[in-house]
Amino acid sequence: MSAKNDQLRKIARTLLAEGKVKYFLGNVRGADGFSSKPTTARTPEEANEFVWDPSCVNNMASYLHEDKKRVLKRGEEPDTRPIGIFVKGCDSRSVALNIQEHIFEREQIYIVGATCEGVVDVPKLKKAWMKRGLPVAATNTLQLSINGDEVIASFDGKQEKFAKDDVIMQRCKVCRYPNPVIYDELIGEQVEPKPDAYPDLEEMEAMSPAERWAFWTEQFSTCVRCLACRNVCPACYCRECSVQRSNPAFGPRTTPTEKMAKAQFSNKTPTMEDNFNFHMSRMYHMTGRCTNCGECNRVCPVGIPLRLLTRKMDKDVRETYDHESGLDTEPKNLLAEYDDDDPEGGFL
Amino acid sequence: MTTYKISKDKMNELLTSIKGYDVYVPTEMGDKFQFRVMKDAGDAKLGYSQSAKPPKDVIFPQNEVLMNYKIQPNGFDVENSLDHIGKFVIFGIRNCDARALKYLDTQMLNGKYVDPYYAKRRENTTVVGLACNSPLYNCFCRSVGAGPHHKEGHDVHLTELDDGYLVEVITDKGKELLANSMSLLAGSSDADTSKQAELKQACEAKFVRKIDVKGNDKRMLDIFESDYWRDVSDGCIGCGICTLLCPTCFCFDIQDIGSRKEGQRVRVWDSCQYPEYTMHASSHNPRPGKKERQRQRFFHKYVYSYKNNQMLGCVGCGRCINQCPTQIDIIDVIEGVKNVKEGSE
Ligand code: SF4
Ligand code: SF4
Ligand code: SF4
Ligand code: SF4
Ligand code: SF4
Repeated sequence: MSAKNDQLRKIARTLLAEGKVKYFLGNVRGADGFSSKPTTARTPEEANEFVWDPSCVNNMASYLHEDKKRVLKRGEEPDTRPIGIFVKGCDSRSVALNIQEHIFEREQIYIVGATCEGVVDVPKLKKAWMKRGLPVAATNTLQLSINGDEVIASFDGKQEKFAKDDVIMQRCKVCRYPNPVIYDELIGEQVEPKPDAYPDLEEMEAMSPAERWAFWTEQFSTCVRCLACRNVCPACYCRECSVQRSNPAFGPRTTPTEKMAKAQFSNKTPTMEDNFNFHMSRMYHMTGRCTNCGECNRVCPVGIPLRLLTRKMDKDVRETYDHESGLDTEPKNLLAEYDDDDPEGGFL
Repeated sequence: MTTYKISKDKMNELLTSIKGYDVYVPTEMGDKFQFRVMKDAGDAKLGYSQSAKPPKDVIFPQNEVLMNYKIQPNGFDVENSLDHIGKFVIFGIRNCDARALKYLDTQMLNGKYVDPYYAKRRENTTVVGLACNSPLYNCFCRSVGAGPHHKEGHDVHLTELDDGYLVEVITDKGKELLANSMSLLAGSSDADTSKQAELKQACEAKFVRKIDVKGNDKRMLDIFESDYWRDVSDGCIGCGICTLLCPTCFCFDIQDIGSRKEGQRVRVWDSCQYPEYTMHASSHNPRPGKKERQRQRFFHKYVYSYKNNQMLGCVGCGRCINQCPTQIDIIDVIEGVKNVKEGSE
């Protein structure tokens, strides 16, 4: 595991020292050993803090967009060097999607990919840790690794083993792309993908429409509309969002025409209608684009299982159109493709 | 203050005997706990750790209709919702969250600027506190003036013992709440009180995290312009979870919703983490990025609040740490101020 750390650090250090990337996006240790923290390294020294272990839950592709949103200071020349980024299998699809959609060109991103056996579900692991009555203070020096079906936590020369299925993210249990689909450099050996199946959807699909309605009504009733699920999403990059929380119908770049035409899809009020409105709008905007990295599900502070929606969408899109987003960099977009010979008169 | 005891199997009966109030109790939702209006006493999970959302929303709802309006041929009708505010109980609130209500009072009931909606809900709410016997990993209430067994701001205080709950009735409001339930309560013994003291000590010994705030406010002002604030907020995605779910955050926005003929004026929570929060009509934004916005959060809680009200704007519940999607840790940030090399700027 530490060999992987060293490999990542060395690559990032070299890229930064040689000035090949303007900065490098990766993870450093969080306050406790269960979690890691997304960060931007601007110097080789900072890159020396990087970690690559099962605590690296963050999809760093979400941070690419900041580069586009940053307003240059007066007289500042844009830095045209690529952005360095660390990606796991699932994250690499998000990067590929951004290239497919021409948000970035391939050469604007230097991708360091890592093959991945799964990352931990931090709250679950914490709970398991507490339940076994393990020393809480030890989490400061914790090191995580995965060995076969076990997640191993090492601390103070001791080892504690957890069944992988109990403590890793749900997304990793059904991961079909543990190996990056696109990269400039690769860390790790190829990992066996999980079978193509949707066991996680069975329960919801078995519900009647009325039961489903009741289920989602209860779930959305606690949504605080923080929009963390949107902010963290690597496929959400609009400068202004149609469900923006605030009323002012403008941002720094809004033109007068845009101000007039600006539609407010849902009010800021977290009522049931607006919550449904927000989530349904977001899902429509994700159809055929979402790569199922599962980040929205992870960040939700009130535990709404948003991944049930994104996975269902993924399944339906695959069954209906045989389309899967973010697998390569060729421009391909399910709902924005146009063909002159299309039997339907209009297109989206 | 009078102290009683109730056995665990009678707790549901006690909850059911409370009449004429909306009783908010901790309930289970998936992996998390949430305060919700009790429909059935069996929903109450008094063994809960911490609710995802603090129960501040009983008194300061996230979505509060202030008035309904309707335009008529000759004039208009306004219905002020102040006239329809009922009575509430927050049953089983943790001390950090109860103390946060006291902090909110300093903002909302401040001298001549009294918020009538808040004031009425506050007045109509009875607070039943529940002592913590086991802190979560990121709890640090003890460092910021609260504590797992503190009773500040409680009308009734419960402590879970092995064979029941110790019930301390502290205020008249508390007495009134339990007036119908007295037959369920028994007297308490000295053994119960000493057990309570024992639990308190045992709980306090379990705290892992702490923060030393002395002198930090001055130091923070010294390094206001430092790159330190850029570095600590590096991973922030600006979601505002750390403020929306913070029991002491009170920022709000007012929205008019409806058509020209009729509609509602609604108050909704807002957060200094959103770009629109400080956006000027000219499109200029004095807090343009996450550095400035996160800095505001830390300064409001640890510098300005203390200066204005002699009370920190943080009660140490740890929610912003537990729930931040990007591991930004307020304890590390405030403690880290001590190690910033730069001097006064
Ligand atoms: S979904 Fe796959 S690639 Fe992503 S973290 Fe889990 S195992 Fe790794
Ligand atoms: S992250 Fe959760 S609470 Fe926040 S807007 Fe999304 S669904 Fe709602
Ligand atoms: S919860 Fe974390 S990511 Fe979200 S605004 Fe607060 S500090 Fe930023
Ligand atoms: S300014 Fe920010 S930190 Fe202060 S109360 Fe408002 S939302 Fe909370
Ligand atoms: S700042 Fe964080 S720890 Fe302090 S009261 Fe708010 S949510 Fe709790």
